[in-house]
Amino acid sequence: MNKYKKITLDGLIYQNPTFMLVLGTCPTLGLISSAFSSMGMGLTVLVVLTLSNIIISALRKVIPGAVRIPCYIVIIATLVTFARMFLEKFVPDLYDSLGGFLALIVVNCIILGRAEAFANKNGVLESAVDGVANGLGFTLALTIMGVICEFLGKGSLFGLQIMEFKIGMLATPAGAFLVYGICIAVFVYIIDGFERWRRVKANKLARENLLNAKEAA
Amino acid sequence: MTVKQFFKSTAFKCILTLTCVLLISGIFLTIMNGLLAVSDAERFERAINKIYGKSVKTEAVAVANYNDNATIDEAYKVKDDGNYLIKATGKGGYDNGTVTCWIVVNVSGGAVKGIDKVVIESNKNQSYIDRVTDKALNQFTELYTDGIIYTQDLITNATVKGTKTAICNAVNGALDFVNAKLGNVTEDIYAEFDFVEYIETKLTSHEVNEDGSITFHIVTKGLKEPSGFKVDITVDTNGVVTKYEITENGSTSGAYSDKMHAGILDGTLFVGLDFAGIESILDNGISLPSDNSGTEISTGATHSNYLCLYAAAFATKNYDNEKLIVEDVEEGGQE
Repeated sequence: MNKYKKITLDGLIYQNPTFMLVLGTCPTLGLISSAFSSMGMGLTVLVVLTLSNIIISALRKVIPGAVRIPCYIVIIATLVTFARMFLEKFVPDLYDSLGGFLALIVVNCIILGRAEAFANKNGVLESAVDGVANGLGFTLALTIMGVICEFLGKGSLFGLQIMEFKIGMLATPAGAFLVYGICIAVFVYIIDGFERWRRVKANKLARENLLNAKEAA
Repeated sequence: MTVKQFFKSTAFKCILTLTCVLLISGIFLTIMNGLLAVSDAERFERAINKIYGKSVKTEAVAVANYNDNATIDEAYKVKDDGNYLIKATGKGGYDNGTVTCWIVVNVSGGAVKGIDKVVIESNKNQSYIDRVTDKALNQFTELYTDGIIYTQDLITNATVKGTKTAICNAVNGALDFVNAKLGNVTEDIYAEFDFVEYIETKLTSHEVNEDGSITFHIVTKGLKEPSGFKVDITVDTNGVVTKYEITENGSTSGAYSDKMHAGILDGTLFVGLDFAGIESILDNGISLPSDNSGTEISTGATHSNYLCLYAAAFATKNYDNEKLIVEDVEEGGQE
């Protein structure tokens, strides 16, 4: 499989940071009561993650191993501060809705995790692809859950009121926890089912090839 | 370790790398801050835009308080249409909390014509502030009539008495402020009476009956737990309570009303008593008992009982005040 395709699929699906690795749970539970906030948080993480992966990968041979974590933290904190300034200046609504969670991106496990596990060992391009893939995986997961929670919890979608019926609890962090659990279960079930189907298909193909080879012999 | 060895050591490399990363980050952020910083004026403009719904030019107005239940934090006159934009903090919320609101007061022809918008800015101790929806806040606009004093029972679509009281106080405070600025001030005849600390003097009214007795329609303020009570008390010419009826129980969500003194709930405790009799119910004069024991009104709903007793003290202490008779003759009673 193409290297970049594998990195992309890993970040998006097989090692999805939210559904498979259960990382970045704090903003996930705090923000998914609003689809707009969750998508905004996802996109902000995507940008910070991609930039931090690129910078850390580019500097990986310069930064001594003993101080790599403090250096990563400084780089990530700088990028997050820049993201805060940018959002406050140009997207104030999103800045207000993200509140304290924006600053907490500094300690987001996904960003530090990818820096340590991937960007530290791979080239700039691969790290950039990994950052985009993981960021997209996080954004998609948050947006899906945000849509579910906002629709059922507030009867609206991206702030637009759609129906009167609502289950108030789903718009709270406790309800978000419930939706998060259900989403993980569904996601893992689908991935497992797909993997099983792929294995069966591969076995069938291998068996057919074997039979063909025997017949030919 | 020699100096040369130190400069070749890993420790030096680490220090140098960290310093460089910190310096570059600092320089980058300094430049970005210069480019992207949001000025106070821009931030204020955004806030006004969000509240008012459009970009408007404003002129700051000197603040002053004309209502004990609210504090005017900021006030602006909107140059475009002459309306007032007031930031007011209403007291009397749940658990002695407050709610700060932005209120757009519609002014036309030198008089207040309505409330255009109420936006909640912040709160203190109001855990259920989310229950006050836009639908509830829109009622301030819908219900406005000349001279209205908003009370929490007018605002439906939200089941939080204390929080609604604080919001109503903020809006009433804003209205009083704008009316004062416009020179339309109504005199509060009860303001100088005795025992008004827990009485909403602007919401209270009275009428003089044919037999000379006076019926007070008293609205009390809220305390830590209960919201305000509405009590009708009739006091005869000797200062004795002849009728006592609670028309609205402010006890928190009904949870404490069951614990209230039965004689206070039905008024029998006060009927037949003058001020001295009412004062004797408490050992220490008419002051709020500090705990839930030792007095007749300490029943587990002490605050609720106390507000009702305070209303009776107000009525019996002030029944012979000259202002009551004069006002009633001149205006047919303050309504």
